[in-house]
Amino acid sequence: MTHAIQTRDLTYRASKTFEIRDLALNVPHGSLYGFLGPNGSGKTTTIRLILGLLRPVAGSISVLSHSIPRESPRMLGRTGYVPERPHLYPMLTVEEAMRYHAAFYPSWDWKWADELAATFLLPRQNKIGGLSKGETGKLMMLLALAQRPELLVLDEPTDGLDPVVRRDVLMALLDYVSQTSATVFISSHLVHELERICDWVGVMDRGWLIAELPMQSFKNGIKRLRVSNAPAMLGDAPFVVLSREPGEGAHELWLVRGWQPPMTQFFDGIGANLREVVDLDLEEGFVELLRTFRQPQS
Amino acid sequence: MSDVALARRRTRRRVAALGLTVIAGGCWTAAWAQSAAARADSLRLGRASLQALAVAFTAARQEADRSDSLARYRLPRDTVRVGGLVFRVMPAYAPLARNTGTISWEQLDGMFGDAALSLSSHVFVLRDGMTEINRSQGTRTPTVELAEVVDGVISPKHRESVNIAPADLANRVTRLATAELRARQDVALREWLNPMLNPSSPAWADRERTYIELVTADARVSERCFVGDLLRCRQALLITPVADTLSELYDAAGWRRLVQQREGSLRSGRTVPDFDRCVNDSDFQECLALLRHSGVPVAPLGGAARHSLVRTALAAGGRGAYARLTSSSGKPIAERLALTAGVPVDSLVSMWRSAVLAARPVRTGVLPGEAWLAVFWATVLGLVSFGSTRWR
Amino acid sequence: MFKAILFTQWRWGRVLVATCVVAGFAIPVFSVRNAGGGSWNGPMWNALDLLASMQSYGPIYVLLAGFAGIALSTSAWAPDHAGRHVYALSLPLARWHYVLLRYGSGVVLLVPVSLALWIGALVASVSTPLPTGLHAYPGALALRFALASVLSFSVIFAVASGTKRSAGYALAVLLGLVLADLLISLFGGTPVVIESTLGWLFSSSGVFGIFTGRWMLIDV
Repeated sequence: MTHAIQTRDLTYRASKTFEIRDLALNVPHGSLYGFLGPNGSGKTTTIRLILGLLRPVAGSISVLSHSIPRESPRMLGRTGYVPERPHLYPMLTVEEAMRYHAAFYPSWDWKWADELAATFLLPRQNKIGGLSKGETGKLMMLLALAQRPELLVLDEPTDGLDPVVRRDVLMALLDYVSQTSATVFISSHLVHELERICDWVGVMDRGWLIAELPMQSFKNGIKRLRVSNAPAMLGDAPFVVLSREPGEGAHELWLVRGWQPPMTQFFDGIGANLREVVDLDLEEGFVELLRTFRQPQS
Repeated sequence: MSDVALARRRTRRRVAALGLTVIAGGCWTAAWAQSAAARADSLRLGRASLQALAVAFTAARQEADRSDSLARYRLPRDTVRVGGLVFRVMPAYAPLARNTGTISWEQLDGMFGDAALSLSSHVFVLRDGMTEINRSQGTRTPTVELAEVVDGVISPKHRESVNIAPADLANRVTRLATAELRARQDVALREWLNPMLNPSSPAWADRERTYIELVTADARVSERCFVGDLLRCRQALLITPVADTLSELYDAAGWRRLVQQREGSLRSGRTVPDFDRCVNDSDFQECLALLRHSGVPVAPLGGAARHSLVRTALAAGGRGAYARLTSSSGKPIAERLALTAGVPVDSLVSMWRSAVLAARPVRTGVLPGEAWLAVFWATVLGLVSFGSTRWR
Repeated sequence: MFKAILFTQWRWGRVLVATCVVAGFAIPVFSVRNAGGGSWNGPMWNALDLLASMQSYGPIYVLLAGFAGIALSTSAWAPDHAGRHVYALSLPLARWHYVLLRYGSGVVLLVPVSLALWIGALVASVSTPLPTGLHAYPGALALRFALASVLSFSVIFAVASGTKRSAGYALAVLLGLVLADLLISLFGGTPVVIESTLGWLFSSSGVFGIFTGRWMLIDV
C-alpha cells in the first residue's frame, strides 16, 4: 500500500509542556482519513508539520512522495488546505480572494469555482471581513477544492458551522472525492461526522498517536466485556485488553480491542465466565480509548 | 570664620581708622591755621598731608572693594585655567569647565590669537542656579557669569543659565568673550564688521554663504567680483569708498529688484504709486528715486562676506593680527586689513576670493557613490528579509 | 503571481500611497509658492532667503520618504502578521519567493510617490523664473527621494519579515548600545556608543547616508 502521507519518528517540541514524539502516521492514497483527538492533542500541530509550516526537531515526513519541509512548495501546489481558523485577507472581496488564490495554482478550475460559489450562495462582491462564519467556511472549502488538489488537508473544517452549512461543505467534499481519487486528511473532534465519511481513523492524544486503523476495525474491534471469576494474570489473550475495572458484584468490566466472536473460548481456558459483550459506537470507543490511554500505568 | 568674612571685618576697621585720622587731621589743621603767620606753610603742609591721606584712603577703599566683591559674589573656590580663560567653578563643575574651556579657547585663540590672552582679566563663574521653571522640579541649572577683574576688583558683566552640555556652554563662553573683545574695537571697525564675528561658527560656513551671495547677488559689482575683478570685490565688500553706491554698484534692473525686495517698507501710503511705477512699469528712475528717498542702506554683499574677509586676514596675519586690526583705528578699513594680514590689500582680497570660490556648496545632485551605496544597503536588507524563516 | 500580490498590497496600502502621492506632488509646489513669504515673485526673490526657505523644506522631504517607506513596508506585512502567516505559508511557493514578490510590490508602489514628487518639483521649477545663479534640481531631488524611501522601506521590511526572534535580536542590539553607554558613564567616561553608532549610520558611508545629502529643489 502506498501512502499519501507518511511520517517516521516525527518529533516536534511546541513548548516546554507539549511535544509530539515519535509520530508514525500512515495515510493511504485515496483514503478519507479521519484524524481524531480532543482539543490540544496536537492535531493542528501535526497538520502544520505535514504541510511544512513547522520544522520538525527529528524524523521524516513524506507527502505525495515529496520530502517535507524541503519540497513543501511543490507539495503545496498539489494540496488543498483548509486551516482551523481562516486566515484570508479580510479586506479582499470574495471575488478578489478567488482571483488571488487562483494566481498561485495552475490547476485552478474556474468553472467549478463558479459552480461552487453559486451552490454555496457566496456573495462575491462582499468583503471577507464581513462574511458570516458559515460563508467563510464555505469560501475556504471552495478555495481548497477549486484548485483540484490530489490531497485535501482539512483542519476542523466544519467546526462551529450550523448543520445546513456543514452538510453543504461535506457534500461538496464527497462530490469531489467521488469524481477523483484524491486523499482526504480531515481532523475533527466531531466523531459522528467522521464516522459517516471516513474509511481510516487515527487518534491523537497529548502528542501521541494512540491508534491508527481502518474505520471498520475501529468500530467493530472495540468492545466492553462483562466478565466474572477473572484471574489476575491473563497470559496470552487473543485480543488487547485496554482496561479492567471492577463492576457490580464479582463482575469486572473489560475494554478490549481486536475482539472477534470466536474468542469466547479464551475465557473457558482461564476459568473465567464471559457474561456480556457490549458494542460501542465510534464516539464511545473514542472516549474509552482516551480514558484507558490516560489511566496511570499500574 | 571664613576668609571672606575676616577680610571684610579687617577692611571695616581700616576704613574706620582712616576716617578718624582724617577728622583728627582736619581739626589739627584748623587749630594750626589760627596762627596767621604760619598760615601759608601750614596750608602747604596740610595739603601734603591730605594728599597722603587721600592715597591711603583710596588704597583702603580698593582693598574694601576687593573684599566686598569677593564677598558679594561668593566666588566658587576652584579655579580652572585653559589658555587665557579663567573659570571659577564649584568643584563638581571643574571637568565641565575644562571641557568647555578647551572647546572655547580653541575657537578664540584660533581667531584672535594673542589678543585672546587679554581675556585672563575676566573670570567665568560657573555655579548652580535655580530657574523659576525648574524650581518646582528641584533640578539645578548651571549658571555662567562673566565678571571683569580690574585691579583685583570683580564686577559683574553678564549672567545667564546654560545647558550642561560642554558644547553649548562653550558657545556661550565664546560669545561672551567675543563681545568683550569687540568692545575694544573702534566704532568704524565695529560698524563695518556688524554683526560681530562669531568664532564658534566655522570659517567655511561664512565662505559658503559668501559664495551663494556672489553667484546670486543683485548687484552688478558682485558678478564682476565673481569673475575676478578685485576692485569690484573691494567695492562689494565696502572697503573701497564709492561715491554713489546705487549708481556705481547696481544697474537699473538691480534698482528694480532692490525696490521689489523691499516691498514691505517701500510700498506704503504715498509711495504706492511710485512703487508700482517702478515695479510694474519698469520706471527705473522712479526706482532709484525711491531708494534714495528711503535711505535704506544697501550693501552688495552681506556680513558673512566681510567676516570671511576678516578671517582670511587674521589667518594670514598670524597671532598678532587681531591686535594690529584693533590698534590701527583712524586708518581706512582696507589699510587696516592689509596691516592685519601683512600683505597688500589686493593680495588679501585675491586670497579671500579664492577661498570663497573653493567653498562652493556640494551640489544637490545625487552622487553616483551615494546612489550605489543606497542601492547596496537596500539590496543587503532585501536579502536579509529573503532569509525570512517559517516558524523555525 | 506578482500581479496578484501587487494587487493585494495596493488594496490595503492604496490610501497610504494616495496620501503620499498627493504630498509628494504638493510639497515641492508649495515650497516654491510659499518661498519669500508667499509673495510668488520669482526673479525678485532674495536668493539667500529663497535658499534658506528651500533648505527648511529638506526635513519634510526626509520625513515623507521615511514615512512612505515605513508605512508601506508595515502595511505589506500587516495582514500576514494578523493571520500569523498561515495563509502565506500555505501557498505553493518558497518563502524567499513570496518575500521577493512582496518586496517587489512594495518598491513598485513607491514609484508613483517618487514620480509625483518629480512631477511636482518639475511643475514648481518651470512655473517660475529663478533668481540669477540658482538652478532647480527636480530630477536629483526625486532620485534622492526614491532611494531614501526604498531604503527606509527595506529596513522596516527586513525587520517585519523576520520572526519574533529576529526582532528580538534587533532589540537586543539596541539595548546593548544603551547598556554600553550606561556602563561607560558609570565609570566616569563620556557615553559615545549610541552617538557614534548613529553618526556612522547617517555618515556618507553609512546605511542612511542618502538621507544626509542636500534635499534642495532649488540650489546654486
